[in-house]
Amino acid sequence: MSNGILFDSVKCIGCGTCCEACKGEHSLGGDANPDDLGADTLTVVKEIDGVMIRKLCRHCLQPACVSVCPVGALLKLPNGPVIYNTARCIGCRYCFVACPYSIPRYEWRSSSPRVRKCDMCAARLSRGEPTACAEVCPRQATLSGDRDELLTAARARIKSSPDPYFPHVFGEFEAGGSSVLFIASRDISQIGMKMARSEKPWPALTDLGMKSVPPVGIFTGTALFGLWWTFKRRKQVKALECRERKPHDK
Amino acid sequence: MTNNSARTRFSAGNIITWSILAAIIVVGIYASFLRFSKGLGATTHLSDAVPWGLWIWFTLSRVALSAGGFILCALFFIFGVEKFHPVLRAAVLTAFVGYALVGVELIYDLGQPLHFWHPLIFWNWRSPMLETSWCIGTYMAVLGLEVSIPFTEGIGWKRLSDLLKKFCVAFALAGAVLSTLHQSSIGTIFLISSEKLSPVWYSSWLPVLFFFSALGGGIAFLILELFLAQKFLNWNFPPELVKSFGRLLLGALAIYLAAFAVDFIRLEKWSLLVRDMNALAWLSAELGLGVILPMVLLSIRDVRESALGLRLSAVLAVAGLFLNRLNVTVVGFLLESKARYFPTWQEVSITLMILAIGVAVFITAAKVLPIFQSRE
Repeated sequence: MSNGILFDSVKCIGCGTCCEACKGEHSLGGDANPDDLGADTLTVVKEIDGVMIRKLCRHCLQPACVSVCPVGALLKLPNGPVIYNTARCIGCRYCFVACPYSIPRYEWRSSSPRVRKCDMCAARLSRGEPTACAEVCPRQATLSGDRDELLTAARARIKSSPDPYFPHVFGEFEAGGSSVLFIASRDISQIGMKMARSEKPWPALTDLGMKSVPPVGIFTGTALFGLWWTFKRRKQVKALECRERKPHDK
Repeated sequence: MTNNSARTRFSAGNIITWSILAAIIVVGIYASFLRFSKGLGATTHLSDAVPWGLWIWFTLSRVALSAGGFILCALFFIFGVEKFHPVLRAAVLTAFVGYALVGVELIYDLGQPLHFWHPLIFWNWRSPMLETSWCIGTYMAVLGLEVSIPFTEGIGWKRLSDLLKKFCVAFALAGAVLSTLHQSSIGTIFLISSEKLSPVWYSSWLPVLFFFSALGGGIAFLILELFLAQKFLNWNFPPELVKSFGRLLLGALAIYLAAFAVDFIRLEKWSLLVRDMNALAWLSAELGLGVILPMVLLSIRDVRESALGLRLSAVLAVAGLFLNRLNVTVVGFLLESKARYFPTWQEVSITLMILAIGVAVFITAAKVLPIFQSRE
């Protein structure tokens, strides 16, 4: 089963219980009521233009951060979460450059900084428990469970009361789809919620370049070797011709 | 000649140059101490919104500017262009010093500098960054072998240097293949930043454009190093070579401009520029000052064949390469995200220190080792 998270912006009352639970689960200090994601804040709920928005890692089905990390410090688990391994990380921050949603945060104040982002409570999921944020939500605005089932639930909510909902499940297809899904009363990509415009999985962007590395290498090597041989041979032939001609000149 | 070099070594100009280099290096060492004891956040203006700044820009630029080594080795050993023989070793030395400092500089930028060796044992071959690191690492080994030739010759190990000389063609081949791969793969790194890097610079052709711009940048930087050698090392830039380098640089810039133009038309980028005046300004600076202007200069025969004209064109082409990499690594991102970034004094002084070390090592090595063949 591949886990996911569904956030229903219409049901959310912005109480922030999910953010507190997240801080508790991950033993995070810092600002109790932060405005944005940070090294101590893996999720945040904000009201923008009367719409509740929750920011957290989307856990892409085909994550760019995982495909670009040179040392494999980021991993997509088969059961959904994208997790981070501090012991491997070299701190190049290519994942920051790659993430289509600009989610990762860095411990800039530390002299040995880690990348910080939601891990979908991977430890809890492996014990069969829901994510901390979903467990405490008083309004069932955040749900944890099988992504396919959440998708069905999201569509059912939109269908049963089409009036408050914008008819789109955000995260179903964007950037190849993500484990985290959103439904809301408006197009949240228009009000400060970063959504990928393309539905192509992000890793495909660099895959083409990477796939052409072996053929380009082999082609360049062979072509240059051939040219070297040709130029060398031409010089030898020229030298021979010169030598042959000399007696006639005399 | 001994007389001459003794005079150059103690001239006032030289003392001033070395004092400036030493001062830059001392400040840089202090900044390095701060960087490694206090961390990236305390000493740089990098942020979650601007994860890559001055250092990455400068490092990636200098990888491109060090391309002169592989270009000249390929021209001489593979294509048999013999006229470049007098500056072959200088080209290899430039590349070796350049790449060695690229490695040092990257460690400054790593959040976990002690993990710098992890790419050796943890492999994600889907990552363009891993491929680039490996190509650069392997190429550095090749450059090390190439530089060993004048080094072993200099310390009198004739048999070893003669042995190494037998493999020059193989080194040139390996260098050309590895360089083609990593110069282009640095462009591939930025292909993941679709929707984040301004579409004015984003293109699926970035790998090709990075490779072609490195050709011009590498040649131009080598030309500048040769003028530096002329000034400090009692070596004269042969007028014949000035002509050849002028034509070579003109050709490389023309190839890049052609690739850029086809890509620009293919993606109809002019429609983006009409809407974005900032992007237009940055792109015009990069292209006009750094590619078109030196091309115009170099296409005038009298300018191309004069030392001053060549030097001016090379300065412009190097600046253009720096500007292009700045636009792709920093400006193109800032224009989209509206984030702000300006480096701290620590970032600047560490960058200057790396540059100063490069100049100092190049001058010293070129003085001590048999680099400039005309001195022999």
